[in-house]
Amino acid sequence: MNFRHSMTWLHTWSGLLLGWLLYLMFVTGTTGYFDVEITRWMQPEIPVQSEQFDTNTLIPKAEQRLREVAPKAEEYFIELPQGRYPYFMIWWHNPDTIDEAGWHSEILDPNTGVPITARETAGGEFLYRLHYVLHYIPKALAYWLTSLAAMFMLVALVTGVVIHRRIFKDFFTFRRTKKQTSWLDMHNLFGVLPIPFYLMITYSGLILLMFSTMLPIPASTFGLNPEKFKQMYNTVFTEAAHRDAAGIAADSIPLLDFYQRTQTENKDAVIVHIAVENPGDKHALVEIGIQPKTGLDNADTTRYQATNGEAYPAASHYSDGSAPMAFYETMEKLHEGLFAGPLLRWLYFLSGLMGAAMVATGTIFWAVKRRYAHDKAGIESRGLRLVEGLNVGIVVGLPIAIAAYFFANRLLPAALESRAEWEAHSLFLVWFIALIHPFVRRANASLSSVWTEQLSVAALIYALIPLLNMMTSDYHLIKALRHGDWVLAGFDLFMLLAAFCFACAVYRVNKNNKIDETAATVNPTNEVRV
Amino acid sequence: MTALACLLSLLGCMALSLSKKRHRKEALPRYKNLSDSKVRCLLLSGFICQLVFAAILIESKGVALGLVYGFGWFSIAAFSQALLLSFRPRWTPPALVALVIVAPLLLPAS
Repeated sequence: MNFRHSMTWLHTWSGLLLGWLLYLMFVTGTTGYFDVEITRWMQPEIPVQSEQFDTNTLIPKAEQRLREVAPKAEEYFIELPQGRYPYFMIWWHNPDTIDEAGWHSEILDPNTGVPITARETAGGEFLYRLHYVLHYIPKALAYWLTSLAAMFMLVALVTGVVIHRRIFKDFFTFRRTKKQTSWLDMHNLFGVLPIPFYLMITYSGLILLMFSTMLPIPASTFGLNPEKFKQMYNTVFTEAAHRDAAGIAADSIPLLDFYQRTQTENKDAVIVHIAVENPGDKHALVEIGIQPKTGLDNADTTRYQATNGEAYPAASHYSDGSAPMAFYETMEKLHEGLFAGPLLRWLYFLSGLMGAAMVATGTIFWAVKRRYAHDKAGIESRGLRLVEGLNVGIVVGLPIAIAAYFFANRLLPAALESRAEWEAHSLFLVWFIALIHPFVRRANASLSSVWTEQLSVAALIYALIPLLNMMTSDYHLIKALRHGDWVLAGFDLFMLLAAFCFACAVYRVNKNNKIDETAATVNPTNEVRV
Repeated sequence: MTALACLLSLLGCMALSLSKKRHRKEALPRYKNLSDSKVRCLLLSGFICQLVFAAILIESKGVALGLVYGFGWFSIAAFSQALLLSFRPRWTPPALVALVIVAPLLLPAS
């Protein structure tokens, strides 16, 4: 076995063994780039901002509300709606010494400032977290599994480059009528073109979970004592040097004044949040978060003393002066893409989808190649049937399950206890059915029929989502388009686009079947396509 | 400026793909046999377009964001070109001409 052969072996098996987990990670991780939009769709009770956000009235209302609900908070902040983020929210953190300790939040009406009760939902956050926390298993195990998958992905990427003999010659090549070669070309296209994205996302993903998987490094300094580890975390990740409360009550300048002052000093500033540390105290600080125009940050901040309005030094960040921490932070920002504007967000999203397509075409190619060889030799392999069945149940079954998750969001009773959990259960229940369907059906149907059935279900279920939205909320696609609300309209339009893509896939599989059937009549030894 | 850069990247991908005989045979059958100097010219113009595309993005968005935009867009541009060559190869030359005409029009806007 020469070097290239051993690399091919490594690429094939590292790709196949964890390919399905990688597919899940790519699909759900990619939805994370639009998690806010997904959550917005999943909470239709939140009214649409009808006019320009009236800061003069709404910021004082939010501040007043915080004073009512969070009189003992040690920190609170107001999030302002802007761009893709439609929420007008208040957040507060109560000290550990009182009953309602920890973080709390409330959504406010962006038109009136009145608190809104939205349905309980796991939202887009669940899909995003699924790509690294998984579900039903301990977090630590999930971190290890996803890190292992990322490591295998990195191996598959490097070995893929090594074994691709004509990487530059075939750079733009997609021979779509060449059966097996078409799958290989597709896998190569999806694999090679966004390779900088894959290297970045895989490597940064590994770095983000390094405190789980590269435990011996911090353990060599801090030992394996959980308390010492917590201490290490606090030392390394303390966000800002907090100003201790003086313990003396003092009146603060209204938050609107700080907002207006920042807007006067910086006319182009897009203010995203107003935070207060030690509210009602002599040492209270006000922090104004501004959307930066360049760089990978998602907010620049300026700070003032709340009692007299004097400027206060900007918070020191945990990466200040530490090259390794700055590197970690850059990896984190690149991976999450929170800084990305609309165009870049779509580029992230499309690159992520291409990643999912790369994994899917890789596993399908594995099965198609072996099916051809097995059919030719007259062998029937259980392993191959298992891979073929899993390919259908995962590649199409997962999107069906995600659609079922959206259906559950709208169809489960609003007052259901642990509603968010049941939304997640619905996803896994439907996915389980999609996974066993190919094995049940293969007894009396061809593989291509199984693909057609699941693809048809996917096309139908995605096409029905905008209809479901119309039936279960006051804010349907046409209304959203009329109001120019691209967050809601975009979600429904994307569902229709997904339905169209699945329908095209059904058409393609059926067309290939007909060609194969005709060819099989003429020449019975001809190769069969998926 | 971003629109012009994206367009240059597309243009570069077209030139790079046409420097390969396999794609020329599909897209421009009359010119499938070009001299080495003409092929090199196509290759060079393709790379220059990509370099200018990267330079514009870095200049307008900074090194960090410019590179992120650059890699992201290049993947999409190259993928679009691969699809065009696969489904409608004959459309490549008119698309290339259209982009060459549109690119200078974007200059005043940027």
